[in-house]
Amino acid sequence: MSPLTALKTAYTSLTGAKLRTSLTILGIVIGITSVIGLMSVGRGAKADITKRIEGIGTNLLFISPQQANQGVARGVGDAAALTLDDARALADPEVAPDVLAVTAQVNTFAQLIAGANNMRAQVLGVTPGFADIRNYVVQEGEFITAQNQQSQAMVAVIGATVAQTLFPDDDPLGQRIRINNRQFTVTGVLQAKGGAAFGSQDSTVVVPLSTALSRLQNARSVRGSPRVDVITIQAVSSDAMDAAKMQATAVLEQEHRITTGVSDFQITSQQDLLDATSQIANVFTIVLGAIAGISLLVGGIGIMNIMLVSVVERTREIGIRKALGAQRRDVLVQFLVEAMLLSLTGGILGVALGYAAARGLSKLQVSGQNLTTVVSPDIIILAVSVSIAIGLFFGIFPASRAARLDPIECLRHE
Amino acid sequence: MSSEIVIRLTDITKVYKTGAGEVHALAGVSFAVERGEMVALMGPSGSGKSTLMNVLGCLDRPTSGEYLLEGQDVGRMRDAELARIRSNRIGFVFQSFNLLSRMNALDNVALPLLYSGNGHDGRARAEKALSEVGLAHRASHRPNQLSGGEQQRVAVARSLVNNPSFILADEPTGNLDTRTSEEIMHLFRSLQDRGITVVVVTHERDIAEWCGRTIMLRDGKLVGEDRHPQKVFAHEPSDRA
Ligand SMILES: Nc1ncnc2c1ncn2[C@@H]1O[C@H](COP(=O)(O)OP(=O)(O)O)[C@@H](O)[C@H]1O
Ligand SMILES: [Mg+2]
Repeated sequence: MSPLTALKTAYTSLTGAKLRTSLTILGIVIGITSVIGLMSVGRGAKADITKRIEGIGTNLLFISPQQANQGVARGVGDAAALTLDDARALADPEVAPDVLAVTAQVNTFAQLIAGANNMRAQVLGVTPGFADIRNYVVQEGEFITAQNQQSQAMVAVIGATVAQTLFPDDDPLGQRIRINNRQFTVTGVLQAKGGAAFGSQDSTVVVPLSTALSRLQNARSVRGSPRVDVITIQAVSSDAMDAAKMQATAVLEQEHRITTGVSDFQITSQQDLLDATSQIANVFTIVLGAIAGISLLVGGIGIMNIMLVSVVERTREIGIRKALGAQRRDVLVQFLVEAMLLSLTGGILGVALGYAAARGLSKLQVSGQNLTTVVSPDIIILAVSVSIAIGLFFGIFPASRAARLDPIECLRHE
Repeated sequence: MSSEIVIRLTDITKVYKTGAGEVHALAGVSFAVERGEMVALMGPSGSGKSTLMNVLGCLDRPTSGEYLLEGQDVGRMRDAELARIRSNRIGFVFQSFNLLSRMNALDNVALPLLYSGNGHDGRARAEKALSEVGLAHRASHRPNQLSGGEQQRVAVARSLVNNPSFILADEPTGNLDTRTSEEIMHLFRSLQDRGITVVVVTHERDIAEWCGRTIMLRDGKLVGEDRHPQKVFAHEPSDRA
């Protein structure tokens, strides 16, 4: 039997029982729709996270202190410290030629008060180069200047959400704001960037590093230089990331006099962050897909069920076809093509519906933000192949049962 | 003398093993059918007609004995080979017509072509077979839009479409009234006149009279063989719907 004839035969017999065919297809449609819909959410989450990590800046390496779990015991207060001196050392092009820019920061949480409004927010003490390295864009006013840094000025640049919360009606520029009960003047407002409410730059206040160190916290390392929480370096290019990392490691090991090979700092690249989060997002996507896969499995069992009923109902037809010369293979192919036509039709409709579902989900607000959904071609190819495979897998048993039937028995069947 | 043997059965037995023991449905049957003959197989219920028909139709293998179809031993063939023999050499006509209800008359006639490899000029072949039984004008009708006689004629057209070595008809008039039965038997006669071999299984003497020879079966054995003049059509062939 030619493939075209097989397809025509399958089509004829499927359209002969429209309601049953539609219901069977519906099972697969629901399965594929949920696979595509849920996987689009997983992929969307990944795309979202990737975008945010990439949005932090370009070619960045983050250096943070790391408590040494093994090695020599240290004096209290010296445990895992990064200092402003470390940042200065890293900025030396002689020893670290692949480092383009360096910025140090301290992170604290503080109570903010402006008039009758108040909130808690993350306060970053940063150096002026921070804005360039971390893609902080000022909407109004200006960022922390070298002059501010020099004079330990009591100035603050506030995020968009902070501006909205503390100054709902007024222009925040030039206004007074109390941070941990110290008076600051707002000299800049950051452009809204969106992203998760917690830890996003929209709900952050930025002050000069020098001011943060002297007025908001007072921690010095035993080496005398002020302690910082994170040093961010930007490499000269994406190819120079590894070189920059090695140079930074060498510089810091020298600065910290590390000889044991157990370092008290950790360097994480943007790529490391991306890899770690992508991995989580991938697991998330697979779990979602697997949950949806269960409904697909149910759809597949539905196909098998209907095909088995169909084989019984068409016993006589099978007998006639066999008496007229149909080989086992012909009967097998006939029923298999039917099962695959069912599942493939369901798969294609499911892809269309799943795509629509993904678009619908992207209109959904999650913590004040639209859910990101991504339907990529590989998911569609996967869904269509899975539906074909389901037709094959769940069709093969009924089809081979039909193929093995004895024509004499079949012709006797009423 | 120069006559050609289409079917030659020698000492065919068929034993069914059941819980109650062995049933010798065929207990040594031998006969031959020449090309262009029209033979009736008769016998009371339980005499082994269906069993013999299954063997002749290559739907089943005999327990022992030799079955030569046009000189080829088909008694020991595997299922796939038997299916090919059925497809190319045997035309089946059943008591209950056995047309596929979802297909029109022409597609039903063309059905055996799907499996015989004669599909290249399938439509033309099917149309020719359908016009040979006088139903060209019913080509697009579904079986449920046809009378019993017409359905059986479609079935005869279907049995012809692969140019078989012989037509095997199992009680072909069992579901038809007398007049329609005569029309169908007349149709077989006209096929015989064109040189086509026909074997008719029946329990009705009236039907057997249309054939040139009657083979009597009882308890799985051949108990008589009778050559007789063939009946001719009592009425003018009509085009009754
Ligand atoms: N599949 C079978 N299994 C066991 N016994 C069978 C089977 N088919 C037929 N028989 C027995 O073989 C004998 C001949 O049956 P059958 O060929 O159907 O006769 P007929 O068609 O002339 O009525 C009967 O006794 C019947 O019971
Ligand atoms: Mg019988």
